[in-house]
Order: sequence, then structure tokens, then C-alpha cells
Amino acid sequence: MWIYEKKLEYPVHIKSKDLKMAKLLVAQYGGPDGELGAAVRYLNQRYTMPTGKTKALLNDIGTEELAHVEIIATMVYQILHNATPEELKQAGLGGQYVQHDNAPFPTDVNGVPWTAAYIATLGDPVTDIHEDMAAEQKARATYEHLIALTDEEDIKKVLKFLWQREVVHYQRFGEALVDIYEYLDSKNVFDMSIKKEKSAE
Amino acid sequence: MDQFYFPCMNRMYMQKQISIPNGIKITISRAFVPDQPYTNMFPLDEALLKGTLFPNLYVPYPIKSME
Repeated sequence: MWIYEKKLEYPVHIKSKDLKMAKLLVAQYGGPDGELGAAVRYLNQRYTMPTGKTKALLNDIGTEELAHVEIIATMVYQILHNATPEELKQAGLGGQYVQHDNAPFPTDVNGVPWTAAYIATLGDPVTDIHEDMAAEQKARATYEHLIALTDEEDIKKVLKFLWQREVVHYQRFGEALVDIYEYLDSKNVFDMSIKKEKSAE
Repeated sequence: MDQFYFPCMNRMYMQKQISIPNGIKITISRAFVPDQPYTNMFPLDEALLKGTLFPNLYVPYPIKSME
């Protein structure tokens, strides 16, 4: 279970009405390399991690990604919520207004709804951790693209924070990978599948 | 004659592990990320804004104005 903290991991106070940016920010909400995907990916992969430490790592990072979903959704909402239908239409958000008014909805930048097809769970810890490391790099690159597209300091500083978190998570997944190899090489483990059979007995 | 074409079977060239500095052995065909040395910390209030507690993990943003 989770304990909810009624505050954001990083404060979000966006005064700007950069509606075009809101349209782009959803990339990190419901896009293929976004925060929602990250949370669902890690929180599903954690079950098949081989050690308590790696399970805990995916649990913790998956939880933090939920906090990032909240940050992105808040940014999108703060920009959208005072906009008139006409302003939304001008910014290319007419479709957003028709289908969702000013409610955040997890899609990619082109309006394609979030899908579990963006994530993978292979049940093989080495494979899954590689996917996670790639996911962190893809999210980092996406943040860089978003930062390049806005001049609003209010938006940029939040994106920079999230960008730094991707770097930290990459390091943690890298350490976990080395840890997993060490575990698989240890004398009690010959093969992951044998290990699984043993635990099923 | 074949000896010129066969892959070299010298055991020395068959090792999967390669030594890197600090006594660490890395293995070919495996990704390796070094452990983060646990040294030094930012003050907590600063760390919460920077996005990491650890100076050695902190990366100033490539765009000058955002450091």
C-alpha cells in the first residue's frame, strides 16, 4: 500500500499561459517515454526481481514516478485551467477542449492515449533492468527537447529537476544491474529458471 | 597450414573478464555501471531543489542559464 503526501515532490507554480507548451508537456504524461509509463513499468517489473534490494529499488522508483506523473499533470492543468475555449482552439488544443475540456488526459503529444504497449515486463531481471535504463535515457532526452522548446523559467526549473531525477535513476538501475549479475554468478544460482523452479516447490 | 586460419586458442585470449582500475573486473557482453562513491552531501533544502543529495551525481544542465 501507499502513504500519500499531500504535496508535490517539486513545487509547481506556473503563471504563464503557454498553451502550446501544455500541449507538448503531455509527452511526459501519457507519452511512450513518459512518467505514467515509467511508473507502470517499474511497479509491474518489481515482482520478478531476484533480490529484496532490487524489488525495493523498483518499488521506490516506481512510486517516485507516480509523484512525477502528478507534477506533470499539475503543470498541464495549471496552464489549461484558465484558458477559454477560443484560446485552446488557437493553441491547437481544440480537440482537448472538445473531448476533455480542461481536464488532463494521459496521451502523447499527438493525442494518442496512453497504452501498456509502451512498457514491457519480460520476467527476466537482466532484460527488465536494461529496459529501465533505456527508459530513463529516453525520458532524459525528452526532457531536453521540452526544455529547448520553452523560455518560461517556471516550467524550465521543474523540467530540469525531473531531468536530474532521470540521471539519478539511471545510476541506480546501473548499480542494480551489476548487483543482479553478481547474484546470478553466486554459487547458489545456476540459472534464473532453476531458481524459479526451486522457489515454486 | 590450418594454424594460420584457425582462431587463436591461446587461453590468454579467451578470458571473458577484463580488469579496470580500482581492482574492478568487468565482463564482456555485459553492461557495467560503476557504483556511485558515497561521499559528501548537499544541504537538504538544496538537495530537494537540485534533484539529488549527492554532488557527484549532480549534473549542471547543459544550457548555461539553467545551472
